[in-house]
Amino acid sequence: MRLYFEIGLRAFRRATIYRSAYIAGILTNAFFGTLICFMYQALYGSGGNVAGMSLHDAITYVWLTQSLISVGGGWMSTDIIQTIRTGEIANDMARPWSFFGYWLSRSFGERLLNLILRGTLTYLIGVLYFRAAIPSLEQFTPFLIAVLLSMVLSFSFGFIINMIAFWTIDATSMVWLVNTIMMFFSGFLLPLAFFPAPLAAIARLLPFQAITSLPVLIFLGKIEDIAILNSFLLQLFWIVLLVSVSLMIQRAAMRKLVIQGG
Amino acid sequence: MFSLYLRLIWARIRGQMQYKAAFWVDLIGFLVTSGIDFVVIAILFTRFDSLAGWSIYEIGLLYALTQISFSFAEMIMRGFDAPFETMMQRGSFDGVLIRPLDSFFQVLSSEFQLRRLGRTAQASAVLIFALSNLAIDWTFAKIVLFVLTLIAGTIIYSAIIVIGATICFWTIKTPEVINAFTHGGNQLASYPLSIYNEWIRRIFLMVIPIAFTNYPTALVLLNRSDPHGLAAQIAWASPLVALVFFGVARLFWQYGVNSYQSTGS
Amino acid sequence: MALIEVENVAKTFRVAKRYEGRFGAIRSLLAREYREVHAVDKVSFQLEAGEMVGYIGPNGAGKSTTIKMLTGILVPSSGRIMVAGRVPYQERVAHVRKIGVVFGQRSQLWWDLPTIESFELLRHIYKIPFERWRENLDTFSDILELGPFLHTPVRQLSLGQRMRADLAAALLHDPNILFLDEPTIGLDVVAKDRIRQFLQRINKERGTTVILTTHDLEDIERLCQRVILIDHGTLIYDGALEELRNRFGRERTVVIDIENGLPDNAHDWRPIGVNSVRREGRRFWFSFDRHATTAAALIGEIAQRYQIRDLTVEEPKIETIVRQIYESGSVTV
Repeated sequence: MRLYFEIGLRAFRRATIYRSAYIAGILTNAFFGTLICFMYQALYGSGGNVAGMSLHDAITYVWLTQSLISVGGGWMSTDIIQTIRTGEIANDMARPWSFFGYWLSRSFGERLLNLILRGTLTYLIGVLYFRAAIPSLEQFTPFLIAVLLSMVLSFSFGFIINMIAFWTIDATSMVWLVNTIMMFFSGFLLPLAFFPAPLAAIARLLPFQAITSLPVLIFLGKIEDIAILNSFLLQLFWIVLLVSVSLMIQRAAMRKLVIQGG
Repeated sequence: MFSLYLRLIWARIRGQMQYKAAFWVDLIGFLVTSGIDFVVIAILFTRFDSLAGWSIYEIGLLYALTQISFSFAEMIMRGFDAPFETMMQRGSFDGVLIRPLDSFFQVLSSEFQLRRLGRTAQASAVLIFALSNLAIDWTFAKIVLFVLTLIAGTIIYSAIIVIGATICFWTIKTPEVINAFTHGGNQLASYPLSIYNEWIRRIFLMVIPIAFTNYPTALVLLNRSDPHGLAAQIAWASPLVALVFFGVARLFWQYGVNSYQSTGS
Repeated sequence: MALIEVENVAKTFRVAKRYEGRFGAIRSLLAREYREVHAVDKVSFQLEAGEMVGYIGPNGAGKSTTIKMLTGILVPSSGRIMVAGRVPYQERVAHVRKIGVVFGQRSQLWWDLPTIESFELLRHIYKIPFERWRENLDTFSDILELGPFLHTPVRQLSLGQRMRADLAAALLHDPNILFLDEPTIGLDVVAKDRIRQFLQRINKERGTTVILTTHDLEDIERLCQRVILIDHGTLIYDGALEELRNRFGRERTVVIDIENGLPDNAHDWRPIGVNSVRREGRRFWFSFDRHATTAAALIGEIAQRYQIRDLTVEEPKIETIVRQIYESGSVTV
């Protein structure tokens, strides 16, 4: 456990090296947030509720999703694919640790830093300039739990997609494609509430809503009381499933490595 | 110089064609991933009647104009995009400086991404969708303006890509900054400029003139007027604005190269 | 006027400081301090046309930085560099038209294309007259045996083939000066040998000035009459290789694998001129002073006692020589 903690800490530190890129990242998120907010203001016009969302809800939604991008909501890392390309993966797999655990703690460290620094600062801009909602503690605590769960979830999903590159030569465009599908069905690009019924039905069957939509809806107070527990259970269900698949893929990759020598 | 450019580009395209399967996968990938933006707009229009008085077809025209330019710029300026970042990280920009050609020319001719035609195709489909539902009274002048706007748009986006690449000379790793202005600007221009506040409108008309990739031209084509009093005829200035902006980007590039040479690793 | 004049040249880089401790990460995110690294510190030397010079030193000594300044990639922080009457970075394009550069670690060829096409593109880039280009290509193909892989994509070439192709590519435009950064790194003995022979010919037949950085003393020994030794950015020796070797690189090592049947007194035996003997299983290391005996004599003597299965002679490493120079206390150039 100590080992994985150290790995996470290293990742957390490493992410701070590129300071200017980090600040630029925050400004980028804020910029996109601003654009989408103006779009919603223009769409809502005089006001009213659309599909159960007020303009204020939509604005809060936008800033939350922008703040959560680097936590896992709208971005899949290709770090593992890089190590497959360089062959580094053979060393990583041979080390006396769980390969999955190594990447999970690395990714968790990065995402945690992103949540604490980048996410908070991005959201603060939303609060200051667009009056994005400040939640009550009763909303914020379950939101935080949901976000932590979504980190594991989005990591596992990314792990699976990255590892597929082990069997295909060029996985970059596949990652792009899958990323787009994830962003769309997770509710990152627009609230699932706006989806037409058939698309919304598909979204409910996929794991992606548990990555972005559920935490955000908890924050907005759209999921309350016992429903919060249900959404935790849904997240856990997907975590168990995706982690199992990840571990299976890891085993298969190990076998392939042993047989073919990488 | 131009024949050397063609020769180098042709070499790149032949290189890419060695991976035919990847080429088609990427092309389709770009088609889908860039198409999602308009799908989002289309979904929003099932819930809302109009966007600041613009119909989905009018938005489609705005979207297509700026997207087509963007796809051309991405295709032509690929050398300044991710490959340039890789070049900086591996230190292979040194290889550029030992060749007897202008560094800008070399980076420009180092890549050409044909597969970005996926985005062009997608945007063209939206253009057809929009134009077939809009009653524009086409005149010769409007056709000329339409074509000029696409050229100006390509130049404007190209300049932004160059500026983004130049920043790499100092930061090495800056994919997101480039994103903010290319993809961000692209998204910004997908909606009418009038919906933004004065600051944003000014910046994207006068500092980073992405608005010139579509908005004034769309006003002229659609016979609309800007609620903030922007004269639609300013559309004719797009090529000039584009060239000036590109000139600034080119100077900035030179400044970046000089700085690399005095502080490089 | 010398072909290359380097006068008091220095290059200083700014490197960001890292903070340690629990809040180090956040501190370095918020405030950043820099420290200065003197990669090259007041180096001076001159080179005449037609010289072949080894520019050597340990890792991070400032070799590559110097090469980058000489090729016009980097601007010196202070001092003066003139190459063929030009300041490299000021007239970069004119300058690089007359030089050839090979980085051992990085190919300058078009990765996805057949090798011959890179040569074609270079012909257009350097505007080489077709006849001259053809002539050069034929000569290089002949000496470097490029023929078998001229139509193979560069990415499929072996390291040795790639290096030969890179060498040819750097010389197609008849440069006056050839800069080589670690040209034999990672190559096997045969490939190294072929490249060394080629460089010798180019230098002799065309009068091309060659400057090479290397870790391999044998490169230097085979090719260069003169070496410039640099460490921590400062020039510590400039002169004949023989002199350097006599003074500091006297110790060599013969490594011998012997057949079965070790005599009992194997440990005690020490031939004349041998400073130390080390043994691991059936392998022996005899370190000797080359002024006291020769490798041939020593091997002969060993062969009389043991049945030799395999043997190599190890040259002193540049690192060792540099260390010895420091230990000896003074350097007179």
